[in-house]
Amino acid sequence: MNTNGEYAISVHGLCKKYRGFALDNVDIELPRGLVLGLVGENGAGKSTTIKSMLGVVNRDAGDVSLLGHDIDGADGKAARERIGVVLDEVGIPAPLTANDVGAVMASTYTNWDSAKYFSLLDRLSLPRKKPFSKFSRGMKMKLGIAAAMSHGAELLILDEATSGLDPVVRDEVLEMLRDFARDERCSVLISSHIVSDLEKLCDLIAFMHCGRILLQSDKDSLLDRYGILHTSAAGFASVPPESVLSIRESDYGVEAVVDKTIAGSRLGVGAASLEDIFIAMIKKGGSK
Amino acid sequence: MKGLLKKDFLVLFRAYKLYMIVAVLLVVQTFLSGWGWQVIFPALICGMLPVSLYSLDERDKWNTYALTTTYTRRGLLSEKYLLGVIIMLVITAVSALAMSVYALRVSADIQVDAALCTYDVFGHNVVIPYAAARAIESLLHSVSMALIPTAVSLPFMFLFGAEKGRLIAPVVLGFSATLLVSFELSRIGGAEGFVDLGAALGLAGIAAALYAVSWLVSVLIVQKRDF
Amino acid sequence: MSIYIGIDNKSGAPIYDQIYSRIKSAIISGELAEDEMLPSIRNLARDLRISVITTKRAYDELEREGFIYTVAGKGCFVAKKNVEFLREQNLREIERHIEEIAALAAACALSTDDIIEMVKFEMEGEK
Repeated sequence: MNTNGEYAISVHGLCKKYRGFALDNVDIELPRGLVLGLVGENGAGKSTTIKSMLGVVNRDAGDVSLLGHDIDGADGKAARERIGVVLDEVGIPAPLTANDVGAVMASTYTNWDSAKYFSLLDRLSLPRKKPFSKFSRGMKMKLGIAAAMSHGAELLILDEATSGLDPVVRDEVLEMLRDFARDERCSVLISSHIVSDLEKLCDLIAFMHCGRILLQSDKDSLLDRYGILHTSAAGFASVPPESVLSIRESDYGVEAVVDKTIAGSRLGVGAASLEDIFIAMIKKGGSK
Repeated sequence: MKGLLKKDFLVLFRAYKLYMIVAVLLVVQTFLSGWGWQVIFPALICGMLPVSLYSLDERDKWNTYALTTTYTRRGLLSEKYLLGVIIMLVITAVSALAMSVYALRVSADIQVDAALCTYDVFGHNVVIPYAAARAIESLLHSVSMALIPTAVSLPFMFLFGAEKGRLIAPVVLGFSATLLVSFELSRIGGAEGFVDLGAALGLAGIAAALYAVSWLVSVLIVQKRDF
Repeated sequence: MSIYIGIDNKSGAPIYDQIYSRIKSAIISGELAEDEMLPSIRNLARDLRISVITTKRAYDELEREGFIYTVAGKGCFVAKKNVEFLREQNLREIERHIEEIAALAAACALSTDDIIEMVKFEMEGEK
C-alpha cells in the first residue's frame, strides 16, 4: 500500500527555542493515506512546528522526514515537489492575480498542472484577474489551496486553513480536503484551534499545548475511550478517581470527563466531543 | 529561480508602474539635455528596486511561503542579486540608447567641442572624441550607481528584516551620492578637456566587487535567519 | 450498490462497532448480495466522516469472521453465506440476550416460568 516509505510525516525530537517560548521534543507521525489534525490553542506552537518541519524556521534539534525524504538532505527538493503547503497568512504577493500565481508556480514546480489549477479556480469561483490584496480571507485561503493542489502533491500541510472562514466556505474547504484524502497515497496535516473543524475530517488527532504534544491518537478510539459523566455528588464518589480527566461541580451535580476504560460503562456517561476531551486534558495538564 | 524572477517582474509591472514612469521620464530628460549627471538618477532609483521588492516580499510573507515550495534561502537571496544585475543592465542600456539618440540629434554641436581624448589601453593608444568619453563615463557611473545601493542594503535587510533594514536606505543613497560628488569634484583639479575613464572604470569595478562581497555575506546571514 | 449506514455519535456505542454491526446485519438479512462489492474503506470513511483507521478495523473484523473477502487491488466483497456459521453467530447472539434477560429478571424478581411464558407468547405472536 505504501510507496517510498510508509510515513508521510515523521518528526522526532523537534526542538526550537524562542524568547519566552519553546517547542519541546515534538514527535509527530503521520502514516501515508491518513489525515492528521493538530489541535492547540493560539500560541501552542502549531505554526512553529509546521514551519520548523519545513525548514522555514531553523530547528535547534530533531529529525524530520517528509514522504520518506530527509527534508534537509540532498533529496529534500524532491520531497518539496510533492508537498503542498497553505500557511495561515497565505504568502502570495499582494499585487499578483490568480493568473500571475499560475504563471509563477508553473516555473516553480516541475509537475505544475495548469489545467487542474484553472479548473480549481472555477470550482472555487475565484476571479482570475483581481489582485490578491483585494481578496477576502476566504478567497485568499482558497487560492492558496488551489495552488497547493495543482502540482500533484501527495502531502498537504495546512496551518489554520479554516480559521476566519464563514461556515459555507469552511465546509467547501473541508470537502475539498476530504476528496483529496480519498486517494490512498495522499496525506494531510491540518492544524487548527477550532477543534470541531477537525472532528469530521481527521483520522488522527494530536493535541498540542505549550510547545508540547500532549497526545497523538486515532480519533475514533479517543472518542470511544472518553465520555462525559453527569451524576450527583454522591454518585460521583463511586467513580475511580484515576479515571477522571476533568470535573465541573455545581450545587446540582457533577459533570466530568472520564476514561471509560477505567470507569467502566455506567449510567449517565454520554459521548464527549474532541473539544471536551482536549480541554479536559489541558486542565489536567499532561498526557494520559 | 525562473519562477522567482517571473514573480518579481510581475510585481514590478503591477505595483511599480509609477516608479517605472519616473525612471523613464528621467531617461527622456537625458534625450533633451545630453549626458552627464542626469543619467545617474534613473540608475539610483532602479538600484533601490531589489531592496524595495524585498520589503514587499516580507510584508506579504512571500519568503515564508516560497521556502515551503521548492526554493531555498540561498535561492531567494541570489535571485534578488540577479535581479539587481538585470535591472542595472536594462537601465544602462536604455541610457545608452537615449544618449545615442541625443548624439545623433545634436551631432553638429558635438563637432564643435570635438576635442579628442587619448587613452592607453594595454599599450595601445586609443583616441576618442571628448563627447564620447563623457558618454562612456556616464554609463560606467550608471553601472556603479545601480549596483551600490543594492550591494550595501540587502545584507542589512536579510540581517534585520525589511522593517529595520530599510532605515538604511537614506544612508545608502547619501553614501552613493557623496561618492559620486567627490568623484566629480576630484575632476576639477584634473586636466581640462580630459575625461578620466580609468577612474570611472575603477569605481564601477569597486561597485561590482562590493556587489559580489555583499552576496557572499548575505548567503551567510540568510542561512541563520528564520522566516 | 448503496446501503444505509447511519453513524450516531451520541449513542455511546463505539463507532467501529456501529459500522461493523450495520454491515454484518445487511449481509445476514440479504440486503447485500453475495459477491457484491462493498464501498472502499477510504470512500466509506470519507463519506461518513469517520476515520479510515476505524473503517479498516471494522472491515478487518468482518473479514476475520468470514462475512467479506478482499481481492487485492479491487476491493472488498460479500462472502458466500455459510449457513452453519450464521447459525452459530445467531445462537451466540441469542445467548447474549438471554443473559441480559436473566439479569433483568433477577432485578425485578420474575420467575423462570414467567420468562418462559413471555417467550412463548412472543414466539407464537411471531407466527
